[in-house]
Amino acid sequence: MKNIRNFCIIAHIDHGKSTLADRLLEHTNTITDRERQDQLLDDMDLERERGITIKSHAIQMDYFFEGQPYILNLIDTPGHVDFSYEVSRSIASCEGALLLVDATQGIQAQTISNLYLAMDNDLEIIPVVNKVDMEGAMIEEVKDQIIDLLGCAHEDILEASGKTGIGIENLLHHIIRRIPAPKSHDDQPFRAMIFDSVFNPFRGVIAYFRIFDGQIKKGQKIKLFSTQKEYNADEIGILKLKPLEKQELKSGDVGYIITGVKQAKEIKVGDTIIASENPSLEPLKGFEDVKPMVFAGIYPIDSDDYEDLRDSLEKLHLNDASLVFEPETSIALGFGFRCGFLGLLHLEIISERLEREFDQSIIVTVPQVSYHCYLNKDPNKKLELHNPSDLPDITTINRLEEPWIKAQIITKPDYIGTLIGLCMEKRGILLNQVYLTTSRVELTFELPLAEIVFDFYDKLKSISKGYASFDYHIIGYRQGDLVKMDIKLNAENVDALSAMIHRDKAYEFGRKLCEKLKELIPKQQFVIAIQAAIGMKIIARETISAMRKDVTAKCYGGDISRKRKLLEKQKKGKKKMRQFGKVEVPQEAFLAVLKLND
Amino acid sequence: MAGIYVHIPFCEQVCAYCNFYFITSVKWLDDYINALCIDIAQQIQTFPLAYETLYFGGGTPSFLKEKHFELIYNTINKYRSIDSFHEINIECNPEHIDLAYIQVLKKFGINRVNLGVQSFDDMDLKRLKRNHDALQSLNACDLIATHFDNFSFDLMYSLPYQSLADWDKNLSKVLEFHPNHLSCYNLTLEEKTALKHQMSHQLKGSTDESLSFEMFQLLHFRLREEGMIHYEISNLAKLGFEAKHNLGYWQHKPYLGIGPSAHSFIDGKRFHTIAHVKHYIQHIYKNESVTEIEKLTDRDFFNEILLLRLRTKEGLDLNTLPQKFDALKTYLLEFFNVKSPYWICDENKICLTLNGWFISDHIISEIMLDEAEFEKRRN
Ligand SMILES: Nc1nc2c(ncn2[C@@H]2O[C@H](COP(=O)(O)OP(=O)(O)O)[C@@H](O)[C@H]2O)c(=O)[nH]1
Ligand code: SF4
Repeated sequence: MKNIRNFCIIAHIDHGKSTLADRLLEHTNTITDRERQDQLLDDMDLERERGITIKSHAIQMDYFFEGQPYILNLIDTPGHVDFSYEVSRSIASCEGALLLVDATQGIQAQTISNLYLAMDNDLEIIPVVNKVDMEGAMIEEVKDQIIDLLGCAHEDILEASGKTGIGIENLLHHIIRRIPAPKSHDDQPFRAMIFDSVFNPFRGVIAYFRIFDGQIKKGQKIKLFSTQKEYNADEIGILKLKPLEKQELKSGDVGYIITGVKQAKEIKVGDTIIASENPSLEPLKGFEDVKPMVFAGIYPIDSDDYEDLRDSLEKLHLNDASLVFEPETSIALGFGFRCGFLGLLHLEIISERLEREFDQSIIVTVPQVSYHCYLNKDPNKKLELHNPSDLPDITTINRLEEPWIKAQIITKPDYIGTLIGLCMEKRGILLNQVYLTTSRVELTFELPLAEIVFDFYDKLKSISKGYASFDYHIIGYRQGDLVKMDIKLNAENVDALSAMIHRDKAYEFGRKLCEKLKELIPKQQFVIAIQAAIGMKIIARETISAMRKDVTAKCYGGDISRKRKLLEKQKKGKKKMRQFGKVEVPQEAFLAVLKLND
Repeated sequence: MAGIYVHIPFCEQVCAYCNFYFITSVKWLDDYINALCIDIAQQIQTFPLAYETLYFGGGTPSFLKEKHFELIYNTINKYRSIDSFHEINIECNPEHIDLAYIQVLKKFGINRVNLGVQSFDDMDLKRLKRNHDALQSLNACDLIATHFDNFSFDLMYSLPYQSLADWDKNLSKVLEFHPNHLSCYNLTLEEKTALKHQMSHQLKGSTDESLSFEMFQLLHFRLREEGMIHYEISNLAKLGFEAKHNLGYWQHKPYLGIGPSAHSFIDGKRFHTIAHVKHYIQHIYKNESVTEIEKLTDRDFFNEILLLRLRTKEGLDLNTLPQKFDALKTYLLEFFNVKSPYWICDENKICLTLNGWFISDHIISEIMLDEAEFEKRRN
């Protein structure tokens, strides 16, 4: 027990977490060269492409220090705000955290919010300035930032390079010396926290847990605290490069459990596993049922593929319980699904996986947040609204509420003015402005979540020339003056393009959306009127003139085959469009809302 | 009736709008002609058809000197009498036309000349990166009109910065030479051409679609007054002066295309020759094959018929549709038997109107069938 160290790495994307983790595994001989794979912890293609770890995992290392064997459990944390709850559970499973900061970049917002989480959980923080081998490394400056932030001593800060291996050995020593061993509660009733789970098509759900009290034996009966449902611990073990089966695990251990559960949603991150016999009556604290906050419709392009799409969503849901979906119909798009996501990135990942892993051609409709609606007849009864078309008759509505977030932005002082401007424009309330160092400022805002769903990140990035990092968490619901805006093509409502919007924003939003649609909808044989409307009132209008010219001048000899193929391709392109009345609308038009400022 | 197309894939310069296959190293020309003759001999023997038209296209066929014509003619003469070709056609660039060259053409029995004029405006020619100026064009037109009955000038419209009046002026100019045939191409911005690049980056003068269409209408009606018939989207001629060779393409007549990137259509198959002068020459000398066959499926053939017929004035006559496509007549009639400004459907005959021609890619792609639909509808 006293020889176990459980820790995680807190780092901003690209600050070198994966590289460093890889190096730790090498130094502890956890992987041989042959097994070595670049960026070992990121094992999904998508993750690798985005350079972030979406799903957390854990890995156990063995290390000898001063003649003693140690077990080091590295618990990896996902790197994006959409998954912040999972991060919080991973952090809660550790006694220590490496605060990894890129020596060329300095501290970023996500680092800070995760750092606060770690401090709230009383983790021992070991600050590490990483990438010290790089030419642009500002080691002393970054150390000063860290000292300001943590109030630690200069000597407490380590230097390392995941790339060259500088400081890795020393880092391992500090992990052992500074991070406390888990407290021993072997004699207490069994309690373990699930900090992650993955789905395996053969084994079902594999849950990763950290044991806080007591022990567990293979084959034992266990329960999940939130549901009190009973399961059999079919297999337990620890996480080496591959899972390694064990007969017994004790408090302080990090491991996995397989119970034959086939659906990810049954096993929730943050839940407490207890024993059926002599069960603990208290769950470990911090369990939340995370709710999807962003909703969008997903429709098959070809309505024949509806069942296929359902199958694919079901498969995705099996290993990603945070994705929820239910059937819905749209007048414009036919049969499809209303899907709930943790955030925009989650939405993007899911739609990409549907297209790439499941080969689905889909249309994703305007994303929106989850609103609360209260009716006059029962002003205390909350209705959740996931789709603008579910909005009840305006006259019956008592009030509408929308989710708000608390957001942290860290940037350079040069950009404060414009960033505050941006957040104000997004209906934000500035709560606080703190200089972390002379060259870094932390701004704290409250903002409606809906405002960051559309074009917020891109603007943030361009205003700050990339020098702003952003993080948020939901703080609750507040009343808002919200309206539903409809889009009409040749006077026909396209329900899939309807959006909820704040009344003050509606005019500008409508105008921009009409302009964008004009760009995205190709000319057709007739004039097309695009209108934005609130109720009966038209607030914006654009016209697409009829197509006059679509002709190849020359069509000779060999050109014929080529020309035929080009036209066949043109026809294929048209098949990807959806027909509204007579108007053909391409797939990308449905995401126009997200591209208003391109 | 069948045609032979001989490709001369050399150009002195790269015209800004051009995406044809050619190279600018004219030094290869002699070697090329030697290889070409070997190829011609083999191909005529392999495909012994009733050839009646001979067409020198490019690239720039007016690079051909007397000795080249001699070589080519001697080769053809071994298998076919040159006299059996009713139409011998050559594409020429204005900068190559002088009296001496006209005499060469005459000597070799060339009876139809295609002159690449494009515009009579120096600014246009500069923007298009043509290798001649307006004066050279005028001289060349003059010479050709004096020495040939059967000739055609190529013009382009919807050029950057071109107004309707500018286009009208070009038409007036060209009509001074009383041509019996004109090819007038509306500028198409092809992918990977200098012009496309400039138009999307610097030049703002691209004509809008409505102006383009007005130019098309102007062309149609002005030339109608001159007794010229608009017999294909880009081609107008006095009766009897239609380009026989090109008509052959559009009517699925067989033709033999020789030279890099040239295409043939024989026995319902399309052949294309590798688009690489050096490889072409090497392969020919090593007696290796230079062509690839593309067998047209029924569906391909059906789509081609739609594509080619609807571009002509005659249109698509359902009565002449091959019998194997009988079941598809209903499909076509379902589509076209509605009143539309874009086509006229009369007693099984479908013709696009001027409006329809100008969006013919749109209409044709709409009615083309993919394999699955084709199979479904034909049964
Ligand atoms: N020079 C240098 N580059 C590094 C170091 N650590 C990581 N990198 C590079 O920084 C980039 C991001 O590293 P990665 O480990 O994927 O970051 P993560 O997103 O935090 O997991 C990659 O291109 C790495 O090769 C280091 O110590 N020195
Ligand atoms: S001369 Fe003809 S083939 Fe050569 S570049 Fe110009 S347009 Fe193209």
